[in-house]
Amino acid sequence: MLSSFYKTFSLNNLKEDKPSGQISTLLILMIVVILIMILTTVNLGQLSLSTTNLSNVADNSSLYLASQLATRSYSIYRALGNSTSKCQSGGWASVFFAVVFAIVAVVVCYFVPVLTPYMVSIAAGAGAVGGAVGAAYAGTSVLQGAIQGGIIGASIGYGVSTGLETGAGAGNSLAASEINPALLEAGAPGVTAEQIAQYSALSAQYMATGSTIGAVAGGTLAASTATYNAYVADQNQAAAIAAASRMLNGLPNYDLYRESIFLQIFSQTVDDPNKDIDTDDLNGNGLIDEKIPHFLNYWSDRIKYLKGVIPTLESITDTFINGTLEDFKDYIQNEIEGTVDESYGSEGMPATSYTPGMLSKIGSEENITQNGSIAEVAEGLNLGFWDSQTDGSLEGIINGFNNFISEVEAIQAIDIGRLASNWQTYIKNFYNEDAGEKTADGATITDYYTTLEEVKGYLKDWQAEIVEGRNALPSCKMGNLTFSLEGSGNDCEPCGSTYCANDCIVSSGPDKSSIPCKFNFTLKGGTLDYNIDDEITPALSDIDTLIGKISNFQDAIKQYAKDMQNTYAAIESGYGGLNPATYSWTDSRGEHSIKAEVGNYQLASTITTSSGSWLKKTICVRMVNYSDDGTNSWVQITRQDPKSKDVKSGKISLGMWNPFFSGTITKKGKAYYSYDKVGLTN
Amino acid sequence: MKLRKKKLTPVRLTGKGAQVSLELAASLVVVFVLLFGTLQIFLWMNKRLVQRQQDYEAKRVEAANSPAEVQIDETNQAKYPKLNIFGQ
Repeated sequence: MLSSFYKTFSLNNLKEDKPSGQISTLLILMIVVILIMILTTVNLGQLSLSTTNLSNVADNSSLYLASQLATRSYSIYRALGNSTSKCQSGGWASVFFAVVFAIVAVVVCYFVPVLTPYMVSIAAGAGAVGGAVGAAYAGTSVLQGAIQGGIIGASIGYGVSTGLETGAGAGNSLAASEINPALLEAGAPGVTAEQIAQYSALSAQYMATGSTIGAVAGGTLAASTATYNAYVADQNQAAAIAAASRMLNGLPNYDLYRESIFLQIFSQTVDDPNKDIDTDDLNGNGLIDEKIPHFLNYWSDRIKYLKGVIPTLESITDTFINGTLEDFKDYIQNEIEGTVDESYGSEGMPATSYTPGMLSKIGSEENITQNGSIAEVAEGLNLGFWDSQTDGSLEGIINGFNNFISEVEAIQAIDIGRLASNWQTYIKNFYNEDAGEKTADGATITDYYTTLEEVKGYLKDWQAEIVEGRNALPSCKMGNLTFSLEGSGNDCEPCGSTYCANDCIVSSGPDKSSIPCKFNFTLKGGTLDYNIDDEITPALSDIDTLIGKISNFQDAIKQYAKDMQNTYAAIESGYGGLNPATYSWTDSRGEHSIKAEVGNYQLASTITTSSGSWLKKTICVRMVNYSDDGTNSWVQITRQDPKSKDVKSGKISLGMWNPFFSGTITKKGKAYYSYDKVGLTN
Repeated sequence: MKLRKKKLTPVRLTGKGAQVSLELAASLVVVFVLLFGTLQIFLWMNKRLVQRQQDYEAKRVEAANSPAEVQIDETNQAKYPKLNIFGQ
C-alpha cells in the first residue's frame, strides 16, 4: 500500500515517460505551496501578536513606572504647598529690632517724665515697629513681626515700669535704714536741718539707685522672657519643618519601585507552564502540597535575597557617609575656613590664634582674617586665577567647594537606612557612569567625580601659573644677617652672591632687593616680602596635597559604588540579575527567557538647605529629581524564544522551529513625567 | 444513395481521451486561477500585516498620550492597497 502511495505521489511521476500519477502529484505540490503560505501567514501573525504584546507591556510598564514616580513627586509637591520648594524666612531680626526699639522707647520714657506713665503702651508701639522692621528685613510676615514685636515691647515696658515702682519701694527701704523718715516727719528732736537735707539727698539717691536696679532687673527679665518665647517658637517651627521633611521622605525605596516594574513585566510576558510544590505556602492559602507556578518560587527567592542585603548596604553606606565623605568635607572646610586654636597665655588669659587653610581667602568667609598659602601667592604675584571673573578662579573653586559642603551636609542629615535603600539615586550626584553624555535636551550629565577631575585640572593650571609667575620674577638680592650695634635691629649686608652663609634679603640701601623675587638656590622658591621665608614652594606643595586628597576621594567614591554593586553579586548569578532581571524556563518548545530592564530612574526627594546669618536666616525644603524626560524612566523587555530548533516526534525529525527568525524580540518604552504630567515619549 | 448507420461506439471511445483532456485543461486553469488568487491574497494579507505592525509601532506614543482613540489611516492606498486579485 505504501508502495502504491509512493508510486502515485512520487515527484518522478512528473517525468514525461511516466504514464500515471502526474496530476495528483501536481495537485499535491499546489497544496504544499498553499500550506506554506498559510503557515507563513500564521507565523507572521503570531510574531505580530508577540511583538504587540511586548510593545504593550513595555509601554504600560514604563507608564506605570513614570506614574509611580510622578505620584511621589506630586505628593511632595502638594506637601510643599503646590510648589517645588518651600522656604521659611526666620532668624532673630524681628526679635532683635523689637528689643532695640522697645529699649530705646523705654529709655526715652524714663528720661521724659511726661511719657513715663505711658511707658508700656509706647514700648509696645516701638516694639511693634521694630518687629515689623525686622520682619521686613528678614523677609518674614510684617504683621506677624509687628505683633511679636508689640508683645516684646509691652513686656519690656511693663517690666521696666514695674521695676521702677519696685525700685522706688526698695529705695525707700534703703533710705529708711539710714534715717527714719517718720522721725523726720514727726519733727523728732535732734534732727537737724543738715540731716534733713542729707536725708533728702540720700533718699533721692537711693530711690534713683533702687529704681535703676529694679528697672534693669525687670527689663532684663522681660526681655529674656520675650526672647525665650520667641526662641521656643523658632525651635517649634524648625521641628515642624524637620518633621515635615521626615514625613515626606519616608516613602517606598528605590528597590521597591524597580521590583514592582519587574513583576508587572513578568506577570504579563512569562508563560512558563512549569509548576512546583508550594512547600512554603507562598500563595498563602494554607495548603503546602498543591502546585504553584515555578515563577512564584523564583520571585519569592529574589525578594528574600534583596531584603537580606539591606544590612550590608547600610553598613557600607554608613562607612562612606560618616567616614570618607565626612573626612573629605572636613578637610575641605578646614582648608577654606582655617582653624582657630584656643589656648591660655603665660598669665593664664585665654588667647586664640587663627591659622588659615590653603584655600582661605579674606572676604570669602566672615571669620577669615588671613589669606592662605595659595591666595597669598595668587595675590602677591597677581596671577590669573586671582581674578574672580576667570574660569577656575580661586573664588570660583571656593564657591564650588562650599556648594559641595552644603550638599554633603544635606545628605548627612538623611537617615542611613533611607540612603542605603536609595543609594542608586544619590550616588549619581557623586559618581555617574553616564557622566559626560548628553541628555535629550542637550544638557551634559555631570557628577562630583567629573567636577573634581576638572578642579584638579584647574589646580594644575594654578601650579603652572605660579611657576611661570615665579620664573618671571627678578632674583632676590641676598645678604648676610648682621647685628647692628646702634640698636637699630638686624641689618642685611649684601654678600654679592645668590646664596649667603646667613641668608637674608637686602631690604635697604643701594642694593635693596625688589619684591616679590625668586630664590636662585631653589628651583621653585621665592618670596613676596623681605622675610626670607619661602611662600611659593609651600603653595605649590599645598596644591599637590589638595590634588592628592581629591584623587583619593575620587577613588573612594568609585570604590563605594563598586562595593554597593558587588553586594548584589549573588543576585547576578542566582536570582536573574539585579537590573536587568532575567527569568528563564524550558518547555516542550525549548528554552525561553524574558529579560526586563529599567532605566536609572531617580526618586523625588527633598533636601533642606539653610542660608543667611543668625539675624536673617532662610530655611528651604527643596524637591529634587521630580521629573524626567524619558532619559532615565524607561523599560526594555527582551524575549528570547527557541530558534532553529529541531522539532522531533520520537526519533523522527519533523522540521526546524523558527529556522529564519532569530527568536529575539526587544521592545522599549520611554515615559516622561513630572509632578503634574505623565506620558509616553519617543 | 444508401445511408449507412454510423457506428457511435468507436467515436465515443476515441473522444473520451479528448473529453478528459478538455476537462483536465479546464480544471487546471481553475486550479491555477485559484492558486494565483490564493497567492495574491497571501501577499496582500501579509503586506497589510507588516504595514499595520509598522504603523502600530509608529503610533504607540500618540495613542498613549491622546485622549481619543487613535486609528491607522487605511484610506492611504499607497500603504494599504485594496485587494485586487487580477489587477495590479
